Amino acid sequence: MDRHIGLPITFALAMAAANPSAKPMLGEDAGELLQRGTLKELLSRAQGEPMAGQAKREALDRMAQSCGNQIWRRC
Amino acid sequence: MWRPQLLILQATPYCNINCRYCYLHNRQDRRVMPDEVVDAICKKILANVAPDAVPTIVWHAGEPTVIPAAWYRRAHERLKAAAPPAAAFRIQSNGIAISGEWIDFLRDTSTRIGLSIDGPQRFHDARRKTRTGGGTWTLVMKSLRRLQDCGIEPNVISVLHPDFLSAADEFYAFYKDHEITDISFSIDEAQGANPSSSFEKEDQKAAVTAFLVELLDRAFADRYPLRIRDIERMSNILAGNTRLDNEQLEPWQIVVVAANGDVTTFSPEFMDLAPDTHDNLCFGNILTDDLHAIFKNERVAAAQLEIRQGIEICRSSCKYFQVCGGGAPANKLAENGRLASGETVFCRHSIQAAADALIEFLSSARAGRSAEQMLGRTAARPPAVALGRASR
Repeated sequence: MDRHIGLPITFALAMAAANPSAKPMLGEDAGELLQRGTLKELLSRAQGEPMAGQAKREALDRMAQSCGNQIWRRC
Repeated sequence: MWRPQLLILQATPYCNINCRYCYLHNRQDRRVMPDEVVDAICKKILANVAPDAVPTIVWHAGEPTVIPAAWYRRAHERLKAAAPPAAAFRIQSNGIAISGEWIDFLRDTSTRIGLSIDGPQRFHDARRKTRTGGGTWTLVMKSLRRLQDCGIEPNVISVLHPDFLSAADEFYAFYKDHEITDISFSIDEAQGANPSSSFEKEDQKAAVTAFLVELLDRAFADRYPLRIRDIERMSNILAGNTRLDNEQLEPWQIVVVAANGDVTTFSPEFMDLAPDTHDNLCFGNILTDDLHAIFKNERVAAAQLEIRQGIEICRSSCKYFQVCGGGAPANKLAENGRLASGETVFCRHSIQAAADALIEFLSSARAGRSAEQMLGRTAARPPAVALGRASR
C-alpha cells in the first residue's frame, strides 16, 4: 500500500531554516536566532505573534506542497 | 463555561503485566469501574463541559484491556452521548491482548489507541515483563501488526533507560521497519511505587538530546515522517500554530476519575502518589460529592497555591520555561518533596532534552547541511540493525 503521510512540522521547520526564501515564516531574524541557539527568544517571538500564526501555517502548508509532500510517504 | 482538556478514566487499577518501572501501587487490584461511576461522570462532569470544548477522554491505568471490549462499548455509548460533539476518545494499552473484538471497538467508536513499546525486543523485554517474568515484546508486536493490518495506526510510547541511549540507530530502524510514525518518549520516573529513576544516578540530558537528534536526522534523511511528540509540540509553537499550554498547572484542565469514583486534577499521577503531606491528593468522589463541592475543595486551592509558587521558581530559574510553562507537579512532588519547587530529573531528560534536540536539529538545517550530510553524521556510528522493511 502507498499511504500519504503528512510532513512532520519539525521537518517543515528544518526545510524552512535551510531555505532563505522561507525565512519570513520563522520571523525576519529567526535564522540568526537559530544560529545562536536561542530557542527561548525564537519561541518568544513566535508566541508574541499570534496574528502570524495562520500565515505561518499557510506558508508551511505551501512549503510542504512545494518541497515534495509527495515524497513523505511510506509503503 | 468549563473547557477541560483531558479526562482520564481509570476503568480498573489492575494490570496484567509487571513492568520494572511501574509507579502504580494498586496494579493487583481487580476492581472494575461500576456503571454508577460511568453515569456520574456523564451527569456530573460531562454535563458541565462547554458544548464547544474539545476534551480528550482517555481510558488509562492500570491496563484497560483486561476488561472486555463489550464493557467499553456500553460505557462509550453513554459517554459519547454526554460529551461535547468534538470530544476525542483514546485508550492507552500495554498491547499484549488486542483481539478482533478490540479492533472492532476501536474502529466503531473512532477511539485512538496508544501502545507502550520500549523499542526493539532486547530493550523492551528487559523491563516490560509478564507477571511470571517473561518478555512481552512478541505479544505487543503481534497486536501492533494486527492493528496496522486493519488500518489502525497506534501511537507508541517508549520509556527510555540510560543503556538505550547509544542505540538510536536500532530504535530508528525499529520504528521505521514497523511503520511506527507517532512516538513519544518518557523516562522511568521516580514516583509512586517506583522509588528511583535510572536517570538520577548520572545526568543523561546530553545523551538523551543526542539520541533524539539522531532519530530526527535519520528520519529526515530517509524522508520518513517520524513525529516525536514533545518535539512536534515545540515545533508547533515555533511555527505559530499553537501557544504554550501546560494543562497540569491549572486545576480541572485535567480530570482523573478512578474506578471507585475518586477524583483528582493537575497531574494524572496524583491519583497514585498518595502523599501524606497532601492528604492523598484525592479531592473528592464523583459518586458521593457534588462537582462544585469538589471544585471548591480547599485542598485544591492549597495545591494550586504551591504549584503557582513552583511555576514562579521555574520562571525565574529555568531557560526552558517558555517551552514548558512550569514543569510537572507530580514529578516535583515525588522528586523534590514539594510542589513549590523547580527543576526535576524528569524536566532535564524530557522537556529540556527535547528542546535541545530541536534547536540542534534546526541549527544543522540552518547551517545548510543537507539531509545526506546529516545522515552522514549519524552513519559514522555503525548501525546495529540494517534498515529495511519488516515482512508483513
